[in-house]
Amino acid sequence: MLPALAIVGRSGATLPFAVLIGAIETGVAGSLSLAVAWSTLPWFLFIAIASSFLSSLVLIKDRRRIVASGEQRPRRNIRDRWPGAAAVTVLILTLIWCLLPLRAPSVGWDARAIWLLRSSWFAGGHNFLLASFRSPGSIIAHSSYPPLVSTSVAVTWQLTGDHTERVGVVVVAFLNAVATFATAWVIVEASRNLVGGQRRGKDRPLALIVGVVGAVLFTLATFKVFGPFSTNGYADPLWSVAAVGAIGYGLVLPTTKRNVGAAAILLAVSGLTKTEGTATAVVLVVLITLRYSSCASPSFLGGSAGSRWRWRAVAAGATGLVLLSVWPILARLEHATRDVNTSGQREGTWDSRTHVTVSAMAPYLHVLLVAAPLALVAGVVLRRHRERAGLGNDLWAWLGLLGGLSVIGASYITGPGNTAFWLYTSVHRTTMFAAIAAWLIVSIWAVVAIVPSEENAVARAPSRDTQLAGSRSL
Amino acid sequence: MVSSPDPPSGSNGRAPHRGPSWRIIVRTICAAVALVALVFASLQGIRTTTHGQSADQTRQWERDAAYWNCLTIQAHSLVKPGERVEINRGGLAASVTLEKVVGGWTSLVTKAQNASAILSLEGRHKQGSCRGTVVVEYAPGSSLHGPPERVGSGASDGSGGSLPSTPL
Repeated sequence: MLPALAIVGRSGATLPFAVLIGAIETGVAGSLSLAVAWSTLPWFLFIAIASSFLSSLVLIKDRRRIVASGEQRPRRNIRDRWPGAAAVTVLILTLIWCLLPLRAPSVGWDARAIWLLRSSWFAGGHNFLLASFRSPGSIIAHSSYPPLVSTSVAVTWQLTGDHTERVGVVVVAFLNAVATFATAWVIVEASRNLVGGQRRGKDRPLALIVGVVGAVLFTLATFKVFGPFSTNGYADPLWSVAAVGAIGYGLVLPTTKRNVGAAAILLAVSGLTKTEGTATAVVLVVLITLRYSSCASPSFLGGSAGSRWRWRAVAAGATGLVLLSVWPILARLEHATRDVNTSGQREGTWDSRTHVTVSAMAPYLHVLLVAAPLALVAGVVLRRHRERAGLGNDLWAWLGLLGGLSVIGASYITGPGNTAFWLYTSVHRTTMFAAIAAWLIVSIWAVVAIVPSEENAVARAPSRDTQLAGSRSL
Repeated sequence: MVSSPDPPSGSNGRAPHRGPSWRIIVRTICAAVALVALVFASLQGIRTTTHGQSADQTRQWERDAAYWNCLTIQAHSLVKPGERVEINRGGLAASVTLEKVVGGWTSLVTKAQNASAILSLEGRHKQGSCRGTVVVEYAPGSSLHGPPERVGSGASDGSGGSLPSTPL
């Protein structure tokens, strides 16, 4: 919880972010177990304690800075808190309902063949893990896939002592729900920004209701995209919705330290969950870096401060790219067995593979037929409303969507093997990211169109969370 | 996330700029299109979720869980955790099934790596099978043509009814 408080602060989504940080810590622990020694659990406990300690230092330093600056912390009474609490409750109830298919003990094909099988490796200690990773006798386990889903299950098994596939599937479904909550919360935050973050005022209740309704509809639409994979142990829903959440916090919501922190957490989840998530996260890191480095205009922060901030943003982006590349490099160094999908003789020509790929993806992206014209018209008519709230230009979100989709499409086109078979077995899952991103774009425009925005909304919302962009929307 | 502390009380004295009426019309249309699309997708999501929790689905997945549990118990009766096991690559389906059953707790090795046991699946429509399949063990280096050295035991699943289709 402490790392979540230090990075994203107190909000309705703090708890989901705490869970996601825990999942990231299991992924790091699993990587250390593979690279160094021990099982995943001791590493996880060590990392959790160390990160909590470091976070408490950050929180104390932050508190001292506030006291020293004489900044008044706004007092919040129950009347101020209950709307936010009600929003959280409604969203939690929606997600509980979405998880009801867990009543059926379904374990998906990939869940049994890859994710839960590898969980047993991570729970089995360094030697067994290393031997299994290198085993040429294993043909379906996809050793080189990132570890987060498997390590989350492994740590849960080790903590509870209940080493069953049922527990594994429940853990993965829970992570899907938590990441969906964090992403849906972007819509609530966007609606709050439209009314200038005001805690009281005539538009505040409307903004909150619209935000919550938008978040609930987005959640249900997201679970429609997930289909049966939301509760059968697959990793695709998690990386997809986490990457979309990174678009929301990093490219849609105002440029603040907390928002970029939230985006970083979601990028780490996406990057540590599946190879497609890693590739998409790389694209999003570049875009978020571009947005943040361009928002710190010298005229706003002063020449040297603006320049300094730009370099800090670029350095943070470069660090993110290096961290995302750690697992692929580690898997190669440890001689993980190669994936059957990404090895073998290449079949077909560029043209034929492109045609097959586009044809296979199209049926899963019908939402773009609504999202694109809507974004075009709303982008012209509602641009100023969006700018006043400090929300990012919609083009950033589209660049994120198209960038992620292009990376996945390019993998099918340029990759090895038989594209048609590869697409047949995966395209309905690899397009989840683009579909959910389009639903986020639609939801944000719905909120922007309904909630009456205040003039200079950002300027009216003084915040301890450093506003980087000034009044300029990027 | 942007925290939202108390704003200065009252408005800034100016009414919010609402723009010309055509803007309001377009804005309303945008809101309506977005909401209709979201509601339509949400209803489909509700249908998917309702289907996923039906009694029929639950029964099918319970049968699926019982089948895999049966195979796992039979495999455990033949090899110990951590043992070096070779899977008979006679058929892709059987190989994949066996890897799912034992891949998490044995060391899977190839023919050249001196396995301590070779596991295979055989059809056997008798009592003691898992829906007509049993896990069997052959001695390392054997030809796999004769009878197996041992047959898995400890569990059987003779229940009827179809298993669920597992989307890839």
